[in-house]
Amino acid sequence: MRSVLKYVLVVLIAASFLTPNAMAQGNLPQSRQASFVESYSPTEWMIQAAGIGTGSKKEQEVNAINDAKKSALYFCLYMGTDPILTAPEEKSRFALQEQNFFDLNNVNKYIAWEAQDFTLRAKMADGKSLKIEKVFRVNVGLLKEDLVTLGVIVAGTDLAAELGLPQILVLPEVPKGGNPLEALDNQSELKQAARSIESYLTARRYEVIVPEQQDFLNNYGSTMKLIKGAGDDVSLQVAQSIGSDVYVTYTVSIATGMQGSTETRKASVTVRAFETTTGRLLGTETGYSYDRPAPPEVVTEEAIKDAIDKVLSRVMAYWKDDLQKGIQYKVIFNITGTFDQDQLEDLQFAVADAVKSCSNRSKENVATDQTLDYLLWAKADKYQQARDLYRDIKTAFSGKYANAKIKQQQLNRKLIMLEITN
Amino acid sequence: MRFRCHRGILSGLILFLILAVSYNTPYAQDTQAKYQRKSISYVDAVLKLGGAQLNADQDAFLLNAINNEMSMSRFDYNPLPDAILADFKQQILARGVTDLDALAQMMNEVLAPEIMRFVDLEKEMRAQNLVSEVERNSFIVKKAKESGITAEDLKAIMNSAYIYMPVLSEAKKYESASANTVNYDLKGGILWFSIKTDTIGSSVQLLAKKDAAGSGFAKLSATNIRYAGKSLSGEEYAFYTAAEALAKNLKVATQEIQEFRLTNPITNTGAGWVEFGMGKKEGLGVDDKYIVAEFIEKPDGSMLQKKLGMVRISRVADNRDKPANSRARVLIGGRYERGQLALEHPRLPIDLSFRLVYLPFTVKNATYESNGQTLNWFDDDIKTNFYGGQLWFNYNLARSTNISQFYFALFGEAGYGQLKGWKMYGEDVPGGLNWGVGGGLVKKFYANRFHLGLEALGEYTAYSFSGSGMDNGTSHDYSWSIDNFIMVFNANMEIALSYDLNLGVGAGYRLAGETKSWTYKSDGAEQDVSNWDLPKAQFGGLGFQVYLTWSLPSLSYDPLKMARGAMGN
Repeated sequence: MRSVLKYVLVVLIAASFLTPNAMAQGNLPQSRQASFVESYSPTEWMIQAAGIGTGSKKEQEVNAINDAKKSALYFCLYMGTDPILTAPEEKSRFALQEQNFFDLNNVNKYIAWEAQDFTLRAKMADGKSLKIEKVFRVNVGLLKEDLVTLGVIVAGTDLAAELGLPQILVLPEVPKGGNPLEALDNQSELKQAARSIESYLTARRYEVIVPEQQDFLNNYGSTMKLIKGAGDDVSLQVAQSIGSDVYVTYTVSIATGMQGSTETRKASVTVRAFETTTGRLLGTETGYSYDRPAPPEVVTEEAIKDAIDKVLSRVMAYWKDDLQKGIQYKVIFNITGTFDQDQLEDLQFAVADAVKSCSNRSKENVATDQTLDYLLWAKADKYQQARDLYRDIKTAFSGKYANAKIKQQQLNRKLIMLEITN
Repeated sequence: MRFRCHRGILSGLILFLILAVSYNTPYAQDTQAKYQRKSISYVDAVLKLGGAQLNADQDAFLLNAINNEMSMSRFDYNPLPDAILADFKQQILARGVTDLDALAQMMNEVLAPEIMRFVDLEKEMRAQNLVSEVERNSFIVKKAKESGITAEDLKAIMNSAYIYMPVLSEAKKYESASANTVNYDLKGGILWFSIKTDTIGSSVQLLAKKDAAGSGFAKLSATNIRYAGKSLSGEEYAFYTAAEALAKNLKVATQEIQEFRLTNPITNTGAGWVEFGMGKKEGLGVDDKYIVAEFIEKPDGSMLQKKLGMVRISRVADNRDKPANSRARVLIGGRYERGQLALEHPRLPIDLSFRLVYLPFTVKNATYESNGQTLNWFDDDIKTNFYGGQLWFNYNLARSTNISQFYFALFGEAGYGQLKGWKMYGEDVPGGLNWGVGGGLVKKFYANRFHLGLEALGEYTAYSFSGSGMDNGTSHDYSWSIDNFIMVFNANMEIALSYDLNLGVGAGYRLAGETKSWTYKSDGAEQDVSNWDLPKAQFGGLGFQVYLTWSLPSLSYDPLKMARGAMGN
């Protein structure tokens, strides 16, 4: 009996050493070498992935290809500059389901296409293993949907239900003092870039604002007269005037070259995303096209595709984070009435209290005798629209300070401009 | 010539050859390299070095022979206008260019602009071949309906232009009025230049210089040898065949240049076969040999190329309009895998074989009348064997017949044998010489390293012996000889020892009628033996052979054409 117990003990000790390693690998890829090739469509990424296969000679290739598929998926989830799983809690939630997720039958669901040819093939470890590399197209759209179903990440559609997907304004970046709208009209590659970005965003069901509509232009002109403090950043001014959540600016640069008598073009674009209310930079990425004998529009679109997806994932990361605080508004109080110093201070306290009472969180940006500039995060379920918030601020203010009135000057999704008069 | 075969040396040699099949080469290249088409131009002039001289007809024929061999499907052609070529040749003559740097400089000045103009016009079309599978499936091709061609592809095409120029360093003619023979020895080569372009312009650089030789032979007195659509003299025929041999050798040498070597990854494998994506477009032919190699990644990340074995093309795909795979049967090695590389192993379509043979020969007893007595020639039938050697040239007909491993064979033999029991002047006759020439068809069937070869041949064979004896104190010289036409049917088993060397053993039945066509000479004078009751001789029976066969990278003469030249018609 004692010897049997000894034997069991030895087995258990041995197992305690072996199991963690075995479990750590399990269904996970052995190679984990992959790189991003291109964003083929809003839901598909081209990934070049390496796989290592062991086993008999016949099994090596199959195992290596399967490992490469897993590496491609692993890359989408964890690696690169903008993986799907970014937050630690997402990673920890996924860790519980990782082994099942990397089961080959499940992995195959996400491989939309794979190249027949290898880009690399080499034997390793004296021929005991085979390393291959090939290109896969991974359906990241489906991957994200499944991760949402599994509760690993929060769905974009859930966000939309609660907060709405961010409304995004797309504008070309212009030199200081320049007018992005004029630039759009005058440079075809800028227009093409805007179209590409808009196409990409609408495919992902974002609300995109086209800054060409006449009513917008009218609105812009009147709003600009009221906004102070936005400086020379016309894009920020435009975004605030229209009330987008985020605005995206971009630059397009096309270098030309000659191969024989053929002109070739290589586009490089910089895409930057900003928070509208503050002008805070959310993400920036540079994208490049191949040098091609192609029209400027084609290389521009290719370069935009290279950059936009990465920027967008950072916008979404910001959006998810902001969701926790509520809906963000910029509220500007213009004090036009005549108040003495004491009245002015009381008035400012009353404004601060009113803002506080209507928001989860607020931040005072500017406080002068003429202007009070606030950033506040209001409850999404309580305030379906800016007007509701305005009404509550007005009510709260009148309850705290009777000698002044608040009037609406300008109201849009993100910007509430109010006038305080006697 | 005496051969001393030591078992240890032989086994060591075989072991070395087998090991040589799978040696490692350090490499730093694409593990999935594919041949990218090159475009070529040529200068229709033979550059004479070292005082080599040809007449106009010879010059034109040599040039044409080389151009024919260089017209390989793996190349695109960049034509050069006659006026430009004439200008270039004039400048060569004017400047007396003999050194290669100066030649390259002249090419850069005169030819490169014209070539690059043509390449420029064609580059988009040619670059289509460089668009990879991944590029064809990229967003830009699918959505923007773009070709997928990048500036890199165009640059590759612009830098894939080459010029070649034939060189002749020696042209020697040997005539022998007494032997009535004429032969030509040509030594020369080919200069390959590459044209590199960048933003500044183009530059012509020497890529490779390949040397080769060619010899031709004919009967000096021949006046009407029909060849190449002409009626040729012996001298002309000797030169023409020498030029063709030189050109064929230059073709193989060119195929061996790294830039021009056909390479492609294996796409499919099966029991005893592999497939890869090349075919008629690249000029593949049945029985072309390809070495299979793969890369080994070392722990430091560097790559090492390891050669694994060899395959031989069995079915050529027509990939001129759409991609298709050609199939090759495994010759050496096996269990090949997708993604391993097939590397061209260019060889002449002539195999050289040396055989040690053991052949039957029988002389049947007969009687003759002498002084009213009936006497036996011998005590009994004489059954003997010849021990000899054969030299074979197997011309592979696969390219013209599309039948794999189908050869026309030409061979000559020489051997030794003694008719024990035949006595002259009371003494055993000495051993004699057996010789013969023949030809026929050979088909080989193979399974991996092993081949079964079946041969159906016709042969003219002869045997002769001579000796001397004493008769009544007087010495007499004598000689006997006999010949016959026979049929030979051989069955051989071969094993591939290396990429170019096979070892074979076989047996054959020599079908021959009995003959009494003896020729007898006594003291140098041929005797009339037509009324003699001579013994019947037969070259038939079972024979055996053991042999080695080489696949040749070059051969300075064509044996079949030499044989024809020797016949003089």
